[in-house]
Amino acid sequence: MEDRAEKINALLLDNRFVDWVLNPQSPYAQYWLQWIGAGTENAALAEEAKQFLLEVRTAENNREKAVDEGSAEQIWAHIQQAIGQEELVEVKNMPRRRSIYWMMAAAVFAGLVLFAGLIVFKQRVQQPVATTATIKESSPAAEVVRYNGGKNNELFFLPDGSKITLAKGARISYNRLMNGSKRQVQLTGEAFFEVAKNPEKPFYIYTPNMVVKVLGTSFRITASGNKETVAVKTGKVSVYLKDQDLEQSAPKILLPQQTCTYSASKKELETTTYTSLSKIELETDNISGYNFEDAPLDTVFKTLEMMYAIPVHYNAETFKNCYITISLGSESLEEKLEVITKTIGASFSISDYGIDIQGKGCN
Amino acid sequence: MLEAKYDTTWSRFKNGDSKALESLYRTYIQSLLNYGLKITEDDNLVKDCIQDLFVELWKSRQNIADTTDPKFYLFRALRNKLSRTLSQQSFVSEVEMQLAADSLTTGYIELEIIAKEHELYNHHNLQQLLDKLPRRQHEVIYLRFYHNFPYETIAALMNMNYQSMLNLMQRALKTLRKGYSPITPQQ
Repeated sequence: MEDRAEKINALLLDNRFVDWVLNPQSPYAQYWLQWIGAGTENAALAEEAKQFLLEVRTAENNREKAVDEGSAEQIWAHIQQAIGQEELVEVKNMPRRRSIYWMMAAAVFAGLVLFAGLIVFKQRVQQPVATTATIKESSPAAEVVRYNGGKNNELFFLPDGSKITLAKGARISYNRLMNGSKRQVQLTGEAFFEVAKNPEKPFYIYTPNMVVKVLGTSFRITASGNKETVAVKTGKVSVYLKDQDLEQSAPKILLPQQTCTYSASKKELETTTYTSLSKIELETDNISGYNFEDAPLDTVFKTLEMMYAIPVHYNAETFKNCYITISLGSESLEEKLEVITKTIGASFSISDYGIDIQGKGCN
Repeated sequence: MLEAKYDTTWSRFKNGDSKALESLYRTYIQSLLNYGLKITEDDNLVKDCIQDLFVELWKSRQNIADTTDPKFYLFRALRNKLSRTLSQQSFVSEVEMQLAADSLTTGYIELEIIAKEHELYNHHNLQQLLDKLPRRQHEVIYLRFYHNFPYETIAALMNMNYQSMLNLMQRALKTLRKGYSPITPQQ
């Protein structure tokens, strides 16, 4: 145990690790993905260190005080004044503003700011945010690795509204925003998928030897050790061999009650119809959604951050009076954000840096 | 690694472009104010120092070096300014007191954390833990985990040698991780 704590500390004391977690453009991303891929212990350590780090970051973010426009403008006005005088007079006559002076000027300035009407002031500057109104497809996005290091099956949410139950030790990785022309997930281990329907963006799961393509169904995939199978619960699933050309070759089509197994000896896919009544889905204790009643916005955003492993940036001070009642279920991330922001009269944008919330807060 | 490039806004400001100075100001004012408040609670003092800092930058623009990282430059300048002013104000500087107090308070805080461990386990309140950290330990955590400054840069920023800064970080991590219990989505 002691050993494990030390390993996590070692990661947190490693600049490259911290940079990878915080910086979506980190040059160390590939290094850490390889490191994580090297073993389940590594993946679990990285996940824990990452979660801890992101929570400290969120805690810091909540403490970050919003600078009111008035005082930011006021300081700038003083700077300008001092600079302007410097051009004319001797440098040593530079006005030094002290606290009382402050308040007087504040009153004058408040008037000015009101008159000026709208001064758009950037509330957060901790990262250069690419404020894209819609999700950009070409920009680089960080890969998210989600790993079930616990003893029980665990439910994970994907940004497109799909849900995945990972068995113990199973791991998926995907593009954080799932914003390409396809939805793509890499899987090792055993998982039950409930894929949100979207015929325009097919959903692909890659295992060591198979590619599974669906439009919106539920099914279980096992990809651990030498065993690779797909079992369908609802809908239709296409299964390809990994080195097959996806556009050219015909897949195995699976319907409910059918199973497809990769045979390592023959290097081909074998379909069988199962008759047993064994359950396809994986049992989980997780509730499949979250209900909030008059909850502070803060709590809702924290839950979103955990559900999707995407940071939410917003001004905690501005939105401190916002309380909402909402249940977060199997909608997509965007649908959820639309409902939330509509409720509080705010707007959102999603970029590789995370979710950005802008608005005036609540009374 | 990418080759470090000099910041162009910074170069424009050095060449006398006051719009570039304004742009630097508007980009970093929020971070600077918040960082200042990590060093002292005196809100007005922080504002005063930021004002002076920008005026002095402008005055001495021709003698200022190029930088790849304006944020680091501004953070360090503000920190130096604040600690100079604070040490003039009180006989022993607040920063020095913190330095001495770090070694004393750690023991006390750890005891308190053990006592409160059960409560914290349930509440999982990182905010509280952060509040209780000695100021300089919190500063390292803030600079590394919030602003993503590498440890080498933090040492330079805080005028410390690298090893002492790492020790400080290690102590902070120990305290935080002791009181921390991870939350998982199902809870």
